Parts: sequence; C-alpha cells; structure tokens
Amino acid sequence: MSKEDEGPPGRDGETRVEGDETIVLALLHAAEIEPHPEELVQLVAAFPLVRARAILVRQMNVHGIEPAASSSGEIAAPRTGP
Amino acid sequence: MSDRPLTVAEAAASLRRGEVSSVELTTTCIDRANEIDGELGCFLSRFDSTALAAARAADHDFAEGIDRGPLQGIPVAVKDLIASQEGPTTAHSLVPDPPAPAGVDATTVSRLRQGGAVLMGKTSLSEFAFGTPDPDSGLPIPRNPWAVERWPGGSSSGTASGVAAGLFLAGLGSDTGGSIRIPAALCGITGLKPTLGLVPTAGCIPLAWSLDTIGPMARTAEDCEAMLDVLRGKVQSAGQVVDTEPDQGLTGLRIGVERVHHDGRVGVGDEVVHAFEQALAILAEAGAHVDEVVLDHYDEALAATLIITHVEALAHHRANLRDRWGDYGAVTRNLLSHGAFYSGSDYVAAQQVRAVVRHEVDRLFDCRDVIITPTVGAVAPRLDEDLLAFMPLLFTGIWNIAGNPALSIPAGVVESLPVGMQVVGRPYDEHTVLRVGRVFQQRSDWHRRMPELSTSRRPVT
Repeated sequence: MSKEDEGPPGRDGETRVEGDETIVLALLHAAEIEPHPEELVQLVAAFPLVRARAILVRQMNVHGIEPAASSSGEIAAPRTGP
Repeated sequence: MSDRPLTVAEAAASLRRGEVSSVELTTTCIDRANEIDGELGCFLSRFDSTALAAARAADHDFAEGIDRGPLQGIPVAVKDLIASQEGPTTAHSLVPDPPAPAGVDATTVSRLRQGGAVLMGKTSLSEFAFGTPDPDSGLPIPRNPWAVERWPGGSSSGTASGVAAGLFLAGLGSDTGGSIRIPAALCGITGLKPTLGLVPTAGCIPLAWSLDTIGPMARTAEDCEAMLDVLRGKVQSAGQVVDTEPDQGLTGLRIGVERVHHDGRVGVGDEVVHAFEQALAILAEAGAHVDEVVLDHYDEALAATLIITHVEALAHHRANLRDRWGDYGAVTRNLLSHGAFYSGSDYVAAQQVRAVVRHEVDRLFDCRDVIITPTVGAVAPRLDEDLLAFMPLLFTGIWNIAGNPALSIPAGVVESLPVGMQVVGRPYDEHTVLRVGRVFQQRSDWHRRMPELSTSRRPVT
C-alpha cells in the first residue's frame, strides 16, 4: 500500500474518521450529492470498504493487457437508443 | 392443466394439439394472480385486458394455421425496467426515469410480441435493479413463494417468484451482477444471463451501461432456450415448437468445477455445498469429465465488478440523485452515492482488471466446455435480515465482467428452500450451457418442485 493509499495522516482513529468525513463530503459535493446528515454517517462508514476495492484493482498488474483482450472473440456491449 | 403449471414446452405442445387454448392458459394465470399476488408482490402492473386480447389473437392465428413459434399464446411477464407499450416503466421506484417514449416497446418486448407471446404485466424488482426492498416506498415488497417471509432474490425478483408460483410461464429479467441468476436460484427456477451483447438492451433502464444484459427466466433450460431464440432475433421456422431432445448424456463434455472461491467462503452452508456436490455427481454420471479449476484474481474481479457498476450507475442517476434524493429508497441512494468515491483512474483500473479476467477465463476454456459453481452460497435470507450482508455469498458477478453466458438451474433443496447451480460457457456458446442444463433436468426433478404457496392453491383448470 502506498503512502497515498493510506489516506490523510492521523495520530489516532478519531482523526482518521474525521479525515474520511472531509474526503467523503468533498467527493459528494463534487458529484452534486447532498445526503441527509444521518446518511452521511453511513456513507463515511462505507468509505474504507470502497477505498479497499479501489486499492485492490490499482495494485493488480495489468501490464501488457489490451482492451477487450479475448482469444475467443470480441465481446461487444452495444446499446442503441430505443 | 396439471397441478403444477405447464412449462413453455408443454404448453406449446398442448396448444398445438388443441388440448388447451391461449385464452384458457391466460385466464388461469390471471385467476392465480388474483388469488396469490397480493401476498407475493410479484406484479407492479397487470395488463389483464390486453393479455386476453393477445391470447384471443394467438388462438385465432392457431385456428388459421398461422404459427409464430414456441411462444405463441404463452403467458409471459417482463421486469419493470424494460419498456412496454401498455404502461409506464417504473423500475420499482418513485423516481420517474422512462427508458423509451410512451407507447413504445423495448426491442426484447417487441420480439416477444412478434413471437406471439401474451404479455401479462410488469414485475417487481430491486429499485433500479440496485436497492433492496423498501417498506417506506409504499410499493409492493417482492416475496419468495417458498417462504413469504423471505427474499426472492434480486434484482429480477418478481419474474422469478411469478414463474415459481405459476403466475406466468416465463419472463424477462436483466442481469448486471447476477440479477437473473440469483433470484432464479433462490426461487427454484432456471435463468440465463446471455453473453454480453447478444440480446439488445434498447428500451431498458440501465444499471451499468457496459455490463447490463437481458435474458430469459423460466421453469426449465429448454424453455429458456426457446425464449432466447426469440430474444436474439433468430427467425423461427413456421410451426417450430420447443425442441425437446432426448437425453443424449454429456459424454465427452469437459467440466471445470470451481470450489476454491465458493465452498470455503465464510458463510457458505455445508448443506448448500453438499447439494452442489450431489448435483455435480449427476453431470459426471451423464458422462462428463470433471476437473478442478481456479479462477485467478477472483477478489479483484469482484472489486472491479462493483467499481464499474457503482460508477456507471451514478453516471446514469446523477441528475435525479441531485434533484430527487428523497424519492430514492435509502439503500438505493446510499449505494448509488458510492460511485462518487471512485476516481476516473479507479474506473480505468477496474476496466483493465476486467480485460485481465477475460483473458484468464478464456484460458480456462481452452480445455473445458463449461465451468460450474454454486449460484449462491446460502438459501434465501429473511426479509428482515441485512440483505447487503448476504452479498458476499452471491457467486455471479465475475461472469458479468467476463461477459460469458451463465445459467442458474435448480440443484437441490436445503431447509425446504431451493438452491441453484451455475453453468458458465464460452462467449456465444449458450447452446452448450443450455444443453448441460437440459441433460441435468432430464436426470433430476428439482425444477419440477413447487412451493407450498402455489401447490396449496391449485389452478382452476
């Protein structure tokens, strides 16, 4: 795990949660999402799990892989208008 | 009609022999829905009058010698995020998000109609195929016909429970991370997620743009094949009915079974594993060669599936989340908001993981015809349980990012509740996947079991 992935520095858990809340608020604001205050607590609680998923995929070695690599044929994902 | 509802194949044959009419089939389904759907929460809207009109038209065509194929005169229902001309498409939400102009069918619904199917109505789901049942919405709570205090699975909840309870013979679901296969397993029916891109999604409210699929749900693999032929636009020969093949076994078929990321997972029930192994033994007895495979990067694949789903779902719902936050269910809006926690580079990394996983899965199929796993690692949870805690026991999402066709078939009963087995094939090789399902169902009777709810209230004909 890199320094960047560890999140904002903090001396204890409480400080870290406050850091998460700041990040969560900023990310939601950027997405124009305004949760009810009691829901913000749930979103902050979910944030470490979400971050863990992102770290997992960031750490995977994808060197040499090309988009839609498939030996048995391209799998399309077409979507056209109704 | 027998004590248990007819399969599509049985009904198609009976219609052509003149033993039953489409109007009789449709009326039976309407009566059944009148009797038990108040308890099941299967339908969000019903089209009784137009269904009867379509049934009369199908009977008229039979009388005139016009045969549109195996779905002619068959009562079906459609998940209510797929547009139909009869009414609004709600996605089981209070937030309006029409996928097509009023009065327009989705491509799949149009194809069902061209095939002569009788559209009974639109079925309940997890809100926008993403949330969990929300008692605060005032909308129906989908319930499992095997035990109404339990979840039927999601997100194609109503289509699964309706087939299981005999409210219609087959239907459409959509599958982005398992939404056809999970409810199929928990309700004891058969459901197919086709290869990504095989069946058009036009006219369907998206969950995740690059993962969504639409597919058939029915009692048997044979019925799913008949549905798939229509959904993919395969031209039906005049008079063609469901192709009931004799049991030819599976000699020469190579099965890879994935136990590493399934049997040992925390929360997977011993009895579920036992049922899975017994089902696998039936396939081996049919002549298949079984060996063990391991899906590399399984956890990374699941993480990528979730990242792609959350980000793409937020992209679709962003404006409505901003403007109508309070109209979404609490769980739905919470999950949609997670999409904001990922960066653009996280999304790209997830798509790169997806490419790696596709490549690895392709390699597994170099020397195997299908891969088999349990569909879900437990029986249906109670509705008052934390349904999000159930998610790690769903073994379906990896096949959405890989894109392969995946079928769930009833494979046993544990604690009086059904469990499913998942059969995965090479891209566009639905034929082999369905063949495995068909042979298994010729050698087992799990797909013929009926929940007490519906067997205690038998059809009137």
